[in-house]
Amino acid sequence: MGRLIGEIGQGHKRGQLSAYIDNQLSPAEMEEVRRHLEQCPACAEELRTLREAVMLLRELPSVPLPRSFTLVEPARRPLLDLRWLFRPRWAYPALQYATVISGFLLVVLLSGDLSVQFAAPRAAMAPSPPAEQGFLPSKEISGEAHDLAGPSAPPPTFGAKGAEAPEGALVAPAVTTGEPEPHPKAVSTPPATPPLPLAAARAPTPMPLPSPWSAGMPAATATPPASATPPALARAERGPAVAAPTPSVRALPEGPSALNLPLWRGLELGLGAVFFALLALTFAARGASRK
Amino acid sequence: MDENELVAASQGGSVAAFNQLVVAYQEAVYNVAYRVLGDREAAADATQEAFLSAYQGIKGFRGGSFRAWLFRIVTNACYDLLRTRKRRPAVSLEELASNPSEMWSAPGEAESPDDYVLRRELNREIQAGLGRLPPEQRLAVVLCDVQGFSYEEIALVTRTSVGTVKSRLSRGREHLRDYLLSRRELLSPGKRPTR
Repeated sequence: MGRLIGEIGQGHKRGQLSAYIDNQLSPAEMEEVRRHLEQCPACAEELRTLREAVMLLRELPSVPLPRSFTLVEPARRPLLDLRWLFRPRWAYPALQYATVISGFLLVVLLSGDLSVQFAAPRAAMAPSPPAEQGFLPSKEISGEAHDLAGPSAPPPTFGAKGAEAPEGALVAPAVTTGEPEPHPKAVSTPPATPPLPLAAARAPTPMPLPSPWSAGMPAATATPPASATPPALARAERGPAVAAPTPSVRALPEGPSALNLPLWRGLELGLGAVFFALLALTFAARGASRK
Repeated sequence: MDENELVAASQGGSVAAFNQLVVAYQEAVYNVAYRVLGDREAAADATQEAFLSAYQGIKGFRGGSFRAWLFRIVTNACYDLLRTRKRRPAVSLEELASNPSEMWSAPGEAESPDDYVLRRELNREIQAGLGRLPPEQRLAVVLCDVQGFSYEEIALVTRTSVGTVKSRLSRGREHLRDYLLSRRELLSPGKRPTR
């Protein structure tokens, strides 16, 4: 401090020497410093060492770059960015549970399908008609099938017709003999349209039939004409009709799940797709949670 | 493309155009960071951080000196690292400067072994002297005497007045000169390497 006061008192220009080196003083100040330096050896020495230090700084070698600092262009975002799905903490456990549930449902569905498929041949071979009719639409049972097969298979809504039966019995003496009497409709049916067996009666399924099915239909209708055949005989002839030599054609319509087959398969495929999609998402969420 | 066009293209999101600016400035930026921080790794970190911040904020650049704008970002990155280092001191600048492998390149073809040794010692002392300066004075000295910035540019970088720059520069040079004089009189005639 004493030195600084002394320098100011003597008019030294130490504070201006740095700017003097860089010509950053006004012309008047530059001239003033220059004159002072001519008369003051201490300030001249100060200027010399200061200049020397500045020269050393300017001669410092450039430090080589350790690497390039250019930026890497960000990668394009994928079309389907699912990172938002993995952000919540509950995402991974929720996906796990959803995968397990969908897998369980898929197993249940597949096992149900398999059990029905295995049960189908047995049901087809079983003699009880109600077991077969249980898979038919009610319309087919109560309407067309009954009409074509004859009165031996009375429709569920037979109450009204049941009232007419005694009248028919009074008119037709054959009834009194106990012999089977053809149904009035069966009588009025022309011989060219024989009554269809049950397999043929199932033809109007809700789904469009593939060509093998259509091709198989004449074979089914080609069973012996039953216009005059009693219903009991028609039913008895159903056995050979089932065992007719068109197994590949008949195998599909005879199965109990034949009518629900497209829906069944669709459910299985859909649930399978959901299961595998959830499985993939679960693994993706697992990988994202580990990062 | 000149600098203004590259800046405009970078503001439009072109990484390639910005990388041309990086190539043009990376050596100066890295050297400033190294002289201010005294550590190669920290300087590399500060340089990368500065370029990344510059790219992210280049849309906010409203014209003027791009160099001053860029070095203001570099300065802030260096100050951030210095503050971090102050909280968690690991290696001192003097310690870094005393490590020859940190600073020195191989001798030049026209350089004698004595000159090479003298230059190594001198550069080490200069870096050590810079490390002893307050950060504001160190930055002013590095920008002016090492990188050749004008007083006005330094004022833009540091967001101060030219008078403040003069003052910081004068005090920084004097401190450095005094430090070097105290170290074996490196500034005496005949002691400097002949290069």
